[in-house]
Amino acid sequence: MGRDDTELIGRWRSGDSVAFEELVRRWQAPISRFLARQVGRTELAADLCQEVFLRVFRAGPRYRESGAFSTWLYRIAVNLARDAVRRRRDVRPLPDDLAQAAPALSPCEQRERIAAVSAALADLPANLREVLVLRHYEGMNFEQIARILDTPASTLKSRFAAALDRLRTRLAREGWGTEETES
Amino acid sequence: MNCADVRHRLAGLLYGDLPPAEAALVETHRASCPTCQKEYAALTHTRRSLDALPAPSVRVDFSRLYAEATRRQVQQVRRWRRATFALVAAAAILLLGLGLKLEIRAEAGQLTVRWGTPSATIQPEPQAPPEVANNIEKPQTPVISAEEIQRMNNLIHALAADVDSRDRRSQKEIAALQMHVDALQTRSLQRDRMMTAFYSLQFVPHDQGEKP
Repeated sequence: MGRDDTELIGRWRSGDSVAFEELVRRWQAPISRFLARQVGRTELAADLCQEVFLRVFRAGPRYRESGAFSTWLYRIAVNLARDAVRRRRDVRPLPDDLAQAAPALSPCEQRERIAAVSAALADLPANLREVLVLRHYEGMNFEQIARILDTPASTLKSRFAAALDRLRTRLAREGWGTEETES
Repeated sequence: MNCADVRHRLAGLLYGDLPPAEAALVETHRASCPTCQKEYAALTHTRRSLDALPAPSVRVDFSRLYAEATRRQVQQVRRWRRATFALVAAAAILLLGLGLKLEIRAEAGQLTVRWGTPSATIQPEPQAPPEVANNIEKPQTPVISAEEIQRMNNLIHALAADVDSRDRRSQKEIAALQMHVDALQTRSLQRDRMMTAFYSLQFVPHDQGEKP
């Protein structure tokens, strides 16, 4: 846990609401990014992000520092994302909502590529997507991810390699492999 | 290391997750194997494709968060109160039943629930042969002592006291939340006033200026 986090948590637990708001401002960006990449819809990710911090706020007085604050936050986010995807099983979890968030001036091909990547990410099983997002986008090491997902690091390394392999195969099949784009 | 061993480690190599000695071995193989080189290039390309995905970031709405926290807190208090009342009512019914000498007796092949003072004439004891009768224990009428009734009474009082203390705690939490919401509203009003003042300074109507 960062030193500042510890200090903020201490102040928050003693009733300082400004400290809580500071914690939220510090973590809302990574948590919302993670959620958006898990559920694929910005609107749903916003609601889930709100729910994550609501749960944190409600648990505040009972929170015990048994590990990093971020680990606790990500655990809540992972569980909420899993529930959300499970509830909407009939709906494709990641349409091209993320692709629409691409820069307006990006070339058409770039937008198509983003759409292909977001769809490929959406079609990954949740356990592969979680480790891929945490390792690739959040830059966590496997020990940190193991604490969040409560899974051995060795298993996560295999899942990560499998996730990358599936993405590579899928993107190559859809014409976004190395040969097509780099020739 | 053969190709299968190396392929298994290419993702680790790409993300710098391999220990230096292992990475060196993989690199050595990769340098001399066109198939593994191609595989590594494909993974590198996949990594670049992932980087292209934008990350929409959202902001937490604090006033909505505090309002929702208050709503859930109130809901929780109501649920807890309902459950406690149900428990106290059940305990009271049980106590009343015991007070009225409710009698539940499990006998051979039947369950008897009896209310009130048992009368010896209603249920004659079945006659068993003398050698069998010696092996059967005679059912005893449960006797509830004044001490046990007092204990039940104490339990109910303790439960009621617990409900009261939880209510008080919840009310304090709700009051704190209400203060947050009020503070947010005040802050929002102040910001609105400042913005209005700012705009009125920026956009003074032309007809209010001094005439030459």
